[in-house]
Amino acid sequence: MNKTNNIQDEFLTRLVRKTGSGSPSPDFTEKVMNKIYADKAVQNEKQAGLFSLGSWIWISAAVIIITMVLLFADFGFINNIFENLNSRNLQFFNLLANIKNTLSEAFQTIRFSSLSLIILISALSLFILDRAIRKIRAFYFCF
Amino acid sequence: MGLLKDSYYVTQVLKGNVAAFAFLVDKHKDSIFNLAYRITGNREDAEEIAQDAFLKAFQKLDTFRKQAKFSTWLYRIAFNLAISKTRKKKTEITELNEKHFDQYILDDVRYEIMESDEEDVIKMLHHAMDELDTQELALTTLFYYEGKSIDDISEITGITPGNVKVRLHRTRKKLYAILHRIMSTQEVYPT
Repeated sequence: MNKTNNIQDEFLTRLVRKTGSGSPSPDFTEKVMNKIYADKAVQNEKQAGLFSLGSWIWISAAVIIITMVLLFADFGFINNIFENLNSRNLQFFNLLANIKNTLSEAFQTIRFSSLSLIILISALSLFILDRAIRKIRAFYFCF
Repeated sequence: MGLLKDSYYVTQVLKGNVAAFAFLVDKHKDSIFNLAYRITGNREDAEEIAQDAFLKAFQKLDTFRKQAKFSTWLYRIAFNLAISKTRKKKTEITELNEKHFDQYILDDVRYEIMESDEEDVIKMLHHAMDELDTQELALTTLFYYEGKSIDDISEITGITPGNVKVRLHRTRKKLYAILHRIMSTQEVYPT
């Protein structure tokens, strides 16, 4: 007698089929599909960039404009504020003035062209912005 | 409208129609849940395994060979998940004394089962199946409950067809032997 005949057993088949284990919960399909949609959203999030190319162009332009304003605008009034404070002989503001002078001296020794400086600051700003948004989004998706 | 073939829904999902996967879930959820339940013996675990199996199938759908049967592929995923999540079951009967298990006992057991109350028989069978290990449970479920072919079972479990037959033969004898013991000793189990 071959092995297949040893396992074919209509009686046992009928018996085993009587012990049905029932069905999964009524909302099983819904639960699975919700998991799938959530998984798909996460996958899409990973694949897609944070912003579209157009958005990045606008953000870059804004960062460049702000940098240029900061570099070329006349901020002489800030010096005036420090000088006024200095004249009042306040210790804390003296400390701030010292820090400002030290930094000014340090930057005076570094010679960059304005364009290089703009590119450097813009790139750094974009990098920091990108990291910050990623962290905020990651935090948001935790919940 | 009747359900279309699995391959149609698989193609739809691969084209980006995620909602088409719901038809596949609806069609196979009972079988996958049943297999997981038989192996784990716990409804909650079975539900979780079945859900994970469908999610995994969705994630790996692009690796599915269309020449293969979707249901067999899905069973394989569920089988592996269930086996890996199930702790090794203790088996009270590990050895089967084949000398004492002949056709006479088989017929005797069948006769006794036919004479018994159906509710009692189901209860006894549940307890008999509790004594099978996870692989024996999976083989019994796939072959006797789901009516899968030896080749399909081989593909699902990763056991060669020859070994599937041998193990099914032993499992069948073991089940009858356990039922015989239960009936001859009048073991009483709670519901």
